Amino acid sequence: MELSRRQLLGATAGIGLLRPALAQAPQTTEEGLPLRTQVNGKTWEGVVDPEETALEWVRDRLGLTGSKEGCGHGACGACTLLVNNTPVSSCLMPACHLEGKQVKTVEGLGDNHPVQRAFAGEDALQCGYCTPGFVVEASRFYDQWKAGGGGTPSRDQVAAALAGHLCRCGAYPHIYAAVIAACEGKYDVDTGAAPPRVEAFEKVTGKAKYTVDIRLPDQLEGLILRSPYGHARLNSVDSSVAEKMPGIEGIYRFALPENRLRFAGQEILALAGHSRLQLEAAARAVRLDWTALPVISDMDSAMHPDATLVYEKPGRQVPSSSEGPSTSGRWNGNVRGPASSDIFLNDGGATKAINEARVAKSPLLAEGVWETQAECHTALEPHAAVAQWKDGKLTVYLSTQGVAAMAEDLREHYDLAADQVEVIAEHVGGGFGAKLGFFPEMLAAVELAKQTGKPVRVALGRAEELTVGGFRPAVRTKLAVLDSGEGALDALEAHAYADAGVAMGSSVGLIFRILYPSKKKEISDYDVVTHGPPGRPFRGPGAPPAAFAVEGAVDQLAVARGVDPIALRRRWDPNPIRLRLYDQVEQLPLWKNRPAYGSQTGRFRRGVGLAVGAWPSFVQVNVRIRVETLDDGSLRATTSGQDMGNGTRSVISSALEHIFSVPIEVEIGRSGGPEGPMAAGSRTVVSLLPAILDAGERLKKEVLAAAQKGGKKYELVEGGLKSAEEQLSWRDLFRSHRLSVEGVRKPDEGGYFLPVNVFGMNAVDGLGGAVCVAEVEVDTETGIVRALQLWQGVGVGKIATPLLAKTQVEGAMVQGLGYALYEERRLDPTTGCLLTRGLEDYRLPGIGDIPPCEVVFDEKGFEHVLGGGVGLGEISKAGVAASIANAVAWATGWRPTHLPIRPDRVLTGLRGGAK
Amino acid sequence: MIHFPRTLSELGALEGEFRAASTDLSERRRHGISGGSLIDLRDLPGLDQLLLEGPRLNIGAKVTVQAVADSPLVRLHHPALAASAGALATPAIRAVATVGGNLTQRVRCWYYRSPELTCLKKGGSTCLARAGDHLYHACFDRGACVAPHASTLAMALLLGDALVITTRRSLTMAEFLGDGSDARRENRLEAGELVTGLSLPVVQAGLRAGYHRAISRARAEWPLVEAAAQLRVEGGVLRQVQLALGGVATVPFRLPAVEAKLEGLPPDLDPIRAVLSGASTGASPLPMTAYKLDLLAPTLFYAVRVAVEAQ
Repeated sequence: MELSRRQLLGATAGIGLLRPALAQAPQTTEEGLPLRTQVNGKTWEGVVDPEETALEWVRDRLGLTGSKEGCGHGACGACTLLVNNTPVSSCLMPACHLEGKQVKTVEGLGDNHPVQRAFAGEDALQCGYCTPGFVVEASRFYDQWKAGGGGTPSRDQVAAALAGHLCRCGAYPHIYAAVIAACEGKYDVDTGAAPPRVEAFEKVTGKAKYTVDIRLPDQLEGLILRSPYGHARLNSVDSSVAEKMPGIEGIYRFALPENRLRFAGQEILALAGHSRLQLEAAARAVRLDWTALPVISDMDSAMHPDATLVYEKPGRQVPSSSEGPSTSGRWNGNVRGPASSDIFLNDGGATKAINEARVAKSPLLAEGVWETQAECHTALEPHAAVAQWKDGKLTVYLSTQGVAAMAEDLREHYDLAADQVEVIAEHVGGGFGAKLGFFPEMLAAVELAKQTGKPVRVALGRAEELTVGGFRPAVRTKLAVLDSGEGALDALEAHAYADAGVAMGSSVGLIFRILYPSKKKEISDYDVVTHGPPGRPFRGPGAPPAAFAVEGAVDQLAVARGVDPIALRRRWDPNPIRLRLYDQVEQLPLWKNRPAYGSQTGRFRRGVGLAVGAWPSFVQVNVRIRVETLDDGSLRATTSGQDMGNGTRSVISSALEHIFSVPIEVEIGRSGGPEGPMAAGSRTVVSLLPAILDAGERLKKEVLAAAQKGGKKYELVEGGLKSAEEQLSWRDLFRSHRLSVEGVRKPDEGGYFLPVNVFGMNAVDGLGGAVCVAEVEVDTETGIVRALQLWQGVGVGKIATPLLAKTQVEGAMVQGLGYALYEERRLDPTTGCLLTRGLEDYRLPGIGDIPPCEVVFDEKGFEHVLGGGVGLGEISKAGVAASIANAVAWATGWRPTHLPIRPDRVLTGLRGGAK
Repeated sequence: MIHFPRTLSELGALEGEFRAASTDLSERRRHGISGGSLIDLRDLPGLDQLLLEGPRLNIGAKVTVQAVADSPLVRLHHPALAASAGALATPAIRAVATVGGNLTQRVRCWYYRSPELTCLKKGGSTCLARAGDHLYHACFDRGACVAPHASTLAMALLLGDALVITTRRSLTMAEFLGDGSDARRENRLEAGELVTGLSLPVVQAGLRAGYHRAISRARAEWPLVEAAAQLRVEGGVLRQVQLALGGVATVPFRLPAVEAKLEGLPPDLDPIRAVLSGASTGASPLPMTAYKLDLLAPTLFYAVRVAVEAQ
């Protein structure tokens, strides 16, 4: 059987070719390769392209979108299908290899498999994007385990079975728990219990629709053509051939001031067409004529006096990697800064004191240079947008952390009325700070949809996601701390240089400012621009690199002075939350039984390290939520916020259910509703919870007023209303009264840390605290570091949904572990092209890398804030990597000053070499 | 163009790249690293058997990596092959990836895999990794290219007189791999030549083997260095010692000098360790790969230790 590619291209797109199974076996046709499979027990026949993958077949042809594309090269497992009952990576398997096979997708597991119940019941997920793949693989493990006699599988057995799956949110600790519990039979009986995460069943069954899953009638696919080089002048773009290729319907050219390309991956044009294969062929036919210019690929070359300037006239074109507005700073070549010193309260005395201590070789001084790598967000759902223009109205399905803000941005950009734009993000497959802006992929989708008159989806591939999808800037920090010797931190000097590629906006200095009080401070923040993709805010911007440096120095000081690391911090740490958490650490067997610094001998050396984390707390005042009564006596809560795995729906649902004990329907993820919080600055719960409580109070009042309309006198009691004759439950009252109220997040009494509201956020007065403890084992022969145990105490006031909060903090610990040991984006030094293009080279922690994790909450200290608590997403990542680095130091006597702590660095370090 | 040959005799008339499970090829084609016609082996029968035939254990090229790992026959007659097969990639990849595909997969070098960059393997004039970022590359310089060979099974099959059977000939694994000096290719197959299987000699009881993969994450990772060892303990001393190293050069290789020094030693770990410290002789690390020299002796030692301690 032979078919030409040309014959296939014109005819293979669209679901129309599918037809119910015929009696006879498929024959060779001129339309493409015939395919006949059983999918979830149903026979399907169709025609596929030789290059089409099994994943594309089930998702795009059969509409079974539960299976996801995560990486596209078999590393993440999000696409896992059972083929003849064996889990396979369907993103690599040619669709035509399914011929005659039995395929089962997550949809075919049914809605209520014990493994699905276990994942929901143990909260073994956050964003849920990787969950169908985990569930499919785990279902097979469960079957085999049961067939093999059952019992309790070990963590190692679970890790071996799930080794091909990655979870960027870091739900691994609960995934272990779920798989073990399911295998033990704890979920064999369906108790009907509601899961702690309200949308869990949508996610474990594959029903949850993410932006990449949206399929509108006549929808086209978009593809972005990008700069192949780090720095170039683009002389011409000839797309004339590409535009006429089969299936291509639209082209959009991005604005390129001065025709300059400043990083490899920069957007040049976007094509709309009928299929991925057609678009890829067309993209290859676009002729780019460009002239290579010198590439500045790292901080050192950028800071060289003769360096090529990344920006001749830096101005508004320089994007920001900051979560808030950037502080002011002057440019000097490729270096911007230092940021204005009044923010840091620099007084000039620190440098002098530290210089004197250095000259005197004071044991009270600890200093060094700490370097951290570029850390990619790489959420498993890539940045994606599906745009549709219809009757003058623009609808954009968007993987975003800011539904309301993006609708507002689009409204302004296209000069539309508020009711002419809708942004929808029902489920968001992770964000971590990278999905906060008006990005080129959304612009391309909207423009191509406008041009073609059809809906257009643009979803980044994994290599694109790792290039332009965002990263935490690489940071080099020169830092010194000087202990007064008399119970105070005398001086702190910190100069942080951040490489966010073509972007600026480093905020490392802020963390030094808020972490410990010192008598004298000298802090500066510099941006060093290079020809790399722009960084973006990443979960606690500035905090992990800052903690790595300062907590490394403090630990070094403790070791040098022979003082217990906690005892040393207690002398100067005024944060009451951390002081309470230190008490808890001191009671941990992990801490009490730790080996003395550098005391270990032999091949494997164990060490326990401690580090603290800090992050300011933000709130979005005026967040609103609408609560309506429904005919069946339940409530519907609506706000335009979104849930990227942070638990927005569950917070709303549990808070209202706690007040009224009725079923709650939560509608979020659509603009146009009452303004919900952006998922940034850890502000979701602290902004939303008071609005929910306010709505609850208003609803009670409205119900009371409605009930008393007949003249009868009622009073508010627990569970409803009471009159002289009767007591009515909220459910009964809601059934008989159609009411709608809007709760609002009021400002906190007593004001804010900063008087100004920046980017819609206010900084809450008072700082949370986090203390991290890590135990590691260092293999001194191979340089391999393994985490044995992680502990974190977090104090952010009242916790709204404890189990979900624990899941989120553990996720931060998993990410911190990856940042400490594995993850590292690397660019080619010559061309600026991304080398770590996939999830084999950009190495996220897998389930086997995750040790037992423990989380405790200190819930006091934020009584002055409405709702009683602040956010925990960011602070819980801040100190993790620093604690692991300190544990390596305690294990070996060698202090890591570069992340990640790779085997080559450990081996060099143990030999006494640098880095 | 795609072909689905149903017999080996059809292959001679076909042109294109062979496709088995496509666990490597799909990604390369998607990013334009590979292109052109495909010869899909889906319908080619008879290559998926693992059979004991007389004095040989014959493994068809379409036998999966997991089947090799699980096979009692392979565990008995080539334990290093079974152990290495079970340690590579992920369960979902091993379930479909084939023996033939594992041997003929292309290198993992990030320059080779980047569609924007043109390295030696793609017709370029220079090895980009050599002058660029080669953190995971070779520490034994065998030619212009410095990308380590990607096949763990090829490394294990250097032990024990394994033969690679192709549509045209049979080759020892060393012959199949060549000396690694040709930057454009990772084996000696000619155009249109297909690996159809492996042929392993059956062995007498008592063969011991070990495999170790130095990886910094716990699982599912390409090795920094990997090693396989095979030996017997007879009369209280080591006999028929064979060692192979992977992840360190454009081809995996045996260590005859080190093997000879181990021959006849008692199975005591300390003297074995002392001998293995000479494994880096002849190494020529790149600026960023000197650390791999530190990993050679420990990695070999763990493989040998497993073999010595095996029952």
